[in-house]
Amino acid sequence: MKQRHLLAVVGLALTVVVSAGSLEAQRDPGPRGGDPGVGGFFPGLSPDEQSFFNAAIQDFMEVDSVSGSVSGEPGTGLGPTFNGNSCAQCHAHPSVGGSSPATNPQVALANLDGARNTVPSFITTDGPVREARFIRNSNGTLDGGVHGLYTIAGRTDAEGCSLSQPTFAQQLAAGNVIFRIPTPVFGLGLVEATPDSTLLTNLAADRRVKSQLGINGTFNMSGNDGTITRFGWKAQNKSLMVFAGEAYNVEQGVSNEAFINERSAVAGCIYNGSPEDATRMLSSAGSSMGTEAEMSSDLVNFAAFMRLTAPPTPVSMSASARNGANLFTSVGCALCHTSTLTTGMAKSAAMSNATYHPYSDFAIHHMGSRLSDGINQGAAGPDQFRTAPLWGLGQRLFFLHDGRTADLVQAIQAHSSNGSEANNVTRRFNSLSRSQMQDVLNFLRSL
Amino acid sequence: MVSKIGFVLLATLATSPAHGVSPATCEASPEIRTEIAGAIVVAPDPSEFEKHVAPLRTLRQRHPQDVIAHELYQDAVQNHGIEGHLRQLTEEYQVLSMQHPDELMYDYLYARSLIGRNTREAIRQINQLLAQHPEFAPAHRSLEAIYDSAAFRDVEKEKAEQVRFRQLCPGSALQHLPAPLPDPSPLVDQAEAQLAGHGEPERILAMAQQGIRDDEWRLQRIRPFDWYTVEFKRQSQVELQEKYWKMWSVEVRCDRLEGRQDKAAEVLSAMDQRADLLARHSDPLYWNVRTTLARLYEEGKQKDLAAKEFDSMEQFLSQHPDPQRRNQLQELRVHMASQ
Repeated sequence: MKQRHLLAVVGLALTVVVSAGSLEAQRDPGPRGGDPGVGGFFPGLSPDEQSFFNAAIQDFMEVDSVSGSVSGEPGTGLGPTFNGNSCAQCHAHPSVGGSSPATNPQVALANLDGARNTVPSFITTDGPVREARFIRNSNGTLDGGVHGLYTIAGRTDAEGCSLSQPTFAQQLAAGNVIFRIPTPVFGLGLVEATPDSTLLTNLAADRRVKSQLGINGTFNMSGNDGTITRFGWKAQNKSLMVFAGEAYNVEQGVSNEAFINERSAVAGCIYNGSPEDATRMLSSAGSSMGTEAEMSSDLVNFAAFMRLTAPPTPVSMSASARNGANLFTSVGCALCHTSTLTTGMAKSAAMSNATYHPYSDFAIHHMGSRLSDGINQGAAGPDQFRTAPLWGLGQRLFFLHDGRTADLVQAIQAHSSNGSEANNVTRRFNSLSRSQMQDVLNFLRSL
Repeated sequence: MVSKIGFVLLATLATSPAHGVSPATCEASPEIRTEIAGAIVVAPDPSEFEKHVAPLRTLRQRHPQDVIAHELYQDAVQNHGIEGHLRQLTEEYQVLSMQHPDELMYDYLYARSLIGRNTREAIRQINQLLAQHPEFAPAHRSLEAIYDSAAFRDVEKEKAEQVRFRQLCPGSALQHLPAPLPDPSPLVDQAEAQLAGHGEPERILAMAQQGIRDDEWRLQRIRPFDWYTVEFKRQSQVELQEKYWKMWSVEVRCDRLEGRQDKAAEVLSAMDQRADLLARHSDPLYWNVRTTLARLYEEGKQKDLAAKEFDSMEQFLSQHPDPQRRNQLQELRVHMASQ
């Protein structure tokens, strides 16, 4: 028995050495430079839809202050706690609507306009934009909620507020903090317009092969109407409106028509009536008549921007990348990272029955102990995550839900750990030759 | 301002009620008069909410049946609170009126907590109370104050309420609403002037920053209240936004005087980014802001950056032609060339 155990250990060590040796030779080509190729509206939108998009993106870029009194920060409602002061601040790379930029704006944000925040240790200039969630409350019950990095205390426009930051150092020491980075929002109108039946059929496809590889997958569902929820790292949000509303309240502290109650509502730090963002009775010019975008709340405009953006455009593939695309499928990555889906009937004619390439099944999968973050969201448990859509991956700077790596190879390897549905596929990837692995990486960076 | 409010409140202590009216509804009861004098804080910083409100909260807790103690507490919250405090006040009195059904005082105090925030509703509720309790003097006093205010002025009703109140509480003081608004702070302008007079940069910068904080607090005395028109609120906000640019300019100049060139460049860069945002939102401040930036770059002998500002101004003029501004730009160019 002892001997068998020893052999197993030696065998495992050899495997690690061999795979480490072969992995070392593979290089993530790094984020693709050049034209972002994203950030515009979906091709074929009507002129009215294009106008709406053009107005909505301005709202997406609007910077918020506490009561709109700081010049250049005309939005109202920042805080009392916040992680950012504009959607576009974090959804920034490779263009407005993307993910974390190369230089983390949260560092400068800590003391903007006189704020007295300390930058937590997990926020660094060259690191990803992050939000922090606590796993448990101090009494041991499950928390899971976002705790704002900063408060408005000390800002010139928050006279009298003395709200303290959470005790991040203490929580980190207790292993009670996990992170999330911004998900890109390009092409999400297509995802929203995809019928549940399409997603269910797609997940059920290749069931036998999936089963052999240990892949299951399920959908996070709305407890209200029983339909599939599909936005966010754990597919916890039903719609782009809910997604935007939650983010506006959680990340910027702006209460809105979807999330009406102010968070951290200490009376001495509340400067605006709720909801801080609401449908406009008057346009900025003071008229009761205006375009849809002029009269809509920020929330509606944020959702419209996300809904009407074009998906990322892949570059034309090299021979290596083409081979990588085939290997991506044959190894089994594509079983979850579904390359092609089709929308149903959408409000926008251009987005109806449109074929798109998200490289996601939008289902949630167990990803094992290494990626588990201990957070439950809807039906998604601690180690369950939505299959991250890979479109636009070629330009992305940080990977995985917490942005723990900027290296695609490490991101792939992180798919494998105790309890992960991706273990067998990762093993198959690791058994590829060096050049084949490189082909896969080249393919991924072409997306 | 604080002492004025204190004066009005203290004046309610020294008068006598008419026959048939509960004395406590006209005046503070004798046993709490001295306590009130001690509870009204004349603190130097009106934005220090707890300093002003806590003693009156305690007073109210000690004398829960004294309507004047409640009114003084409400006034302190109204005069020193921001939106969150004001909302809390209304919620608090809504709960109290629910906990004390059919108690006139609490119904009145709930209605009174709406004054200045939803004054029309307050008027409606107070009139409803008076229909059943026409001799409840505090309600007449509140209505008189509302009808005497600029926003809800009604001369006839004001006169009628005043007469009624004077009949019920001869000699008792009336209230003035809203509390006087602090003047815009002169500190930013003074800081600019002192900078030109070679004052001490650190002190000047602190002065400018304090000026902004004072005006931000002043804005909080305007924004939540229906005493002021939407236009006045908007105008006050624009004036404050304009002042921020003066403060940032003072900051750049102070940093330069102190040899902190990096810090000055950082502030300027942030100002530039903000200016870009103004362009995006067609902000009326845009032109003045670009002018300010051009001057700051010129002062710093940063001709390239000043030239960039001129380009932005040129671009703006091509979209919004204006001969006066065209001349202004030309003068700036000439001035820089002569440096």
